[in-house]
Amino acid sequence: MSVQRLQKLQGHIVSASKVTMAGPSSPLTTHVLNTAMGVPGSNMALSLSRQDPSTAAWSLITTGTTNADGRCPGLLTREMFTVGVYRMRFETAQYWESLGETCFYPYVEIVFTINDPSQKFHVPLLLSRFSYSTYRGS
Amino acid sequence: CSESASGSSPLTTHVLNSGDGVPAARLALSLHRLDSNLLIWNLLTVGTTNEDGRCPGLISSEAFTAGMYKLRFETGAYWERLGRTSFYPYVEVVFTISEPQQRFHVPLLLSRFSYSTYRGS
Repeated sequence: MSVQRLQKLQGHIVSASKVTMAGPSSPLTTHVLNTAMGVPGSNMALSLSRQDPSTAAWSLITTGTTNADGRCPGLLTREMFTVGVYRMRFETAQYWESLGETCFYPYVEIVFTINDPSQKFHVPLLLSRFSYSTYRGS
Repeated sequence: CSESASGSSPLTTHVLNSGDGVPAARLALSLHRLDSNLLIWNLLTVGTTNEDGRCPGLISSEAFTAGMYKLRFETGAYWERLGRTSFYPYVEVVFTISEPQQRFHVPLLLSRFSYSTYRGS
């Protein structure tokens, strides 16, 4: 088994500061890429919240940190993944600061609507110091 | 957005509908600045993009002080008006201005299932 493969497996098993630990694959995934440096955005803090439809208040579901591959497995379980409006928040300035750089964006929040939680949703973040993009993947 | 801001706004935006390859016209947006003491957002400007997807007069040079700003784009309402659904009910881009004497361009390239932004000039 190669070193890279071992590191990838380690990243799936060792997840820091999670409020929940999902067993089987999370129906919602993310992937942070540092497009400026051509590397995964690893060790970036993020959080997932859901909006209460009646009060519009946000409730925190999960916090986590991206692994060496820029991913954060176990965001939530199928049971927790209900219809609603969700928000993924990425601590982007903190990430760039740890690399000794500034960032135009103190954080990035991506708010999205889930109407069919039986599907899989991939909400990646492609990030540089002065730009970012996201798309709905699967 | 008003054209009454004296001179050109130091902060500009441009919304492109990359799904259809057209400017995103008549998209509602708002500009906010974070009150660093109260940690609340103060609404500065509301506006709607013109036929070219732009919104001139966002802020005057005098009002454009260093701080944290948020541009909120009502993207869900935009797509709904075109009779389509969208993954994002709205898009908020939060950015830090340390040198307000510069010009900043904060565009939004938008489709129903993706968006991107960058710091332009």
